[in-house]
Amino acid sequence: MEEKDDEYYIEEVLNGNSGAFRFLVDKYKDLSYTLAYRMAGNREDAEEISQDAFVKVYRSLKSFRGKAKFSTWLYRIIYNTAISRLRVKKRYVLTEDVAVAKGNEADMKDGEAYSEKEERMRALESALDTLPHDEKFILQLYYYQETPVRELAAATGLSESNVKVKLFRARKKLRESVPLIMKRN
Amino acid sequence: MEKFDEKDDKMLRELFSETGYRKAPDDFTGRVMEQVSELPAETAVFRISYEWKLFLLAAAAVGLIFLINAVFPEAEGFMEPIANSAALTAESFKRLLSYLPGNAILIFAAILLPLFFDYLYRFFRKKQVSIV
Repeated sequence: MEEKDDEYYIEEVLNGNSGAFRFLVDKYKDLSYTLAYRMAGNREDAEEISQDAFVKVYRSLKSFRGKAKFSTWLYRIIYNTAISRLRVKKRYVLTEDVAVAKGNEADMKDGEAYSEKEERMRALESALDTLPHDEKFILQLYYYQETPVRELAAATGLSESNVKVKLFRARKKLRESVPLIMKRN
Repeated sequence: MEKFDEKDDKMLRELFSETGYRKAPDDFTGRVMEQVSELPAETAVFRISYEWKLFLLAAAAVGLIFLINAVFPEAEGFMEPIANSAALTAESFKRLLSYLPGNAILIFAAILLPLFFDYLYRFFRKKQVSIV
């Protein structure tokens, strides 16, 4: 089946077909949840952040002018929602690594291949947790979505040169953690 | 600025690619849609379609032309009051037709102008991709 682009579904929603929003949620839910999870550090907050972000997106969809990509706009809303929530809860640093390990039974599936992947993911997340939130956020969009610097700047509200500096710094820090990640596996 | 090593970059890219995303809960979409459907009516997103918008703009412009005709009853030519006639009699209809060429230009412009501005808007919107 031909996959339509985001603009099509946005137009549909704006024309009164609210059901079309489901396609946008389905398309971006995993990445949104991942970003929120890695900002918040636990499943409950991640679910609330990503759900809140989608509801905010829906409510303000009519103000979306299409000057940036929809995904960039969504990431910015997730970022702001997460930062606001974490500020309220004053939980900037994840200390409960156990929560990462135990709080995701729902995400896990049986099978050795999957647990190995899960192990690797947890190790990566531990390494990411050592980074500040903005660096973590930038790094994930950069590697998962190959988001260009210009859009990373739009998503975080930072200048392009600042994004470049943070990206370099974050990559360097993560690179140093990689042998540890490998060792854990 | 110092450049990040390409080999390291590739390795990190592979690491992210291998681990992938965390899977959102199965009922995630359903819950979002439920919240969205509970939004009060005044915040629900609604917008008339593009075609209807153009039609309404053109209709408003035509209405404006009639209004001008009514406001300037002494005017001559196509500005002469056609809307002044209380009923659309055969005579007023004839007069309306006789002034049609003049009004047609305005009606035509009324339809073309929104199209032109819409084209400009879309053209510049495509140019500005980086601004949120």
